[in-house]
Amino acid sequence: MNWHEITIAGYALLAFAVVAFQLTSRNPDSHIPPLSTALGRVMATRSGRVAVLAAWVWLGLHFFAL
Amino acid sequence: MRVVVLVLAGFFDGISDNWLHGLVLWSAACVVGWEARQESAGAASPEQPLLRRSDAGGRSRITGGVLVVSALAFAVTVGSWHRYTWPMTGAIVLVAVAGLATGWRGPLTTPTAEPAADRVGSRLWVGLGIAAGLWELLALSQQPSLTEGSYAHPTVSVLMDSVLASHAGRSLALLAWLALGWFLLEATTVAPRRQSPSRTTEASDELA
Repeated sequence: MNWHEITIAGYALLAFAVVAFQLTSRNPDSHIPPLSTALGRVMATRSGRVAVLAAWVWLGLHFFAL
Repeated sequence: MRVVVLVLAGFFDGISDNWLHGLVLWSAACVVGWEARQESAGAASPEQPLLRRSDAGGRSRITGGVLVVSALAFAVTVGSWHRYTWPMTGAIVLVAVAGLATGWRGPLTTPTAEPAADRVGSRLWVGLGIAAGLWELLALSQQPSLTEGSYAHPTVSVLMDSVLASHAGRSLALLAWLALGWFLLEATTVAPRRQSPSRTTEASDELA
């Protein structure tokens, strides 16, 4: 296994963890909230909303803009 | 914490030869820090939900349809433009400003309270986000230089280059970016999960 495959595997593992957390959150007895709920806690205040949206803006700028 | 993350992200973007993007992040850090101070001092300007719950139903279906069609038209049109050009930059900035202005104004609808038991679970999401950031940082640090990608240690940007080289790839990515923005704005309106009878909850069931 070379470093390229290891790096890709790491990203794949992170993506799998996101899906696993989200599916687990569907169980009413789970302590893991859905991602929207977790984000909602951060975005309950203006500063939190601006911070999260700034990260979203940066994504757009980083991949597309000058 | 949010300010620190934004400052660090701006720093790493800057040393990767993207000082303009770094400046955007540092500006956001200043705004977030100032607003957080206002909130802790109880001096923040009041917020009002942008939508009433009574807007649900036929009117929101029409609005939703218009948004979806607009997003598709945007993705197809802007996706035909090349990356890192002024028209593409203008389009992205336009949507970004609209999203930020909407978020600054207030939540889309009245936020709901989260049950106390979920605070531990929320930290798992934070941990996952930190792990993702560190993995990306590790790949960035293994590149020949900060401005030159590496096949052996690809960052997400390097991996996305092949996807974003085509019109279809750019359109899909733009659509995903728009959908993410909408998801984030809607996250402030999330309804509480249905709890099993054995768990107590503080959240109201208004949105159900």
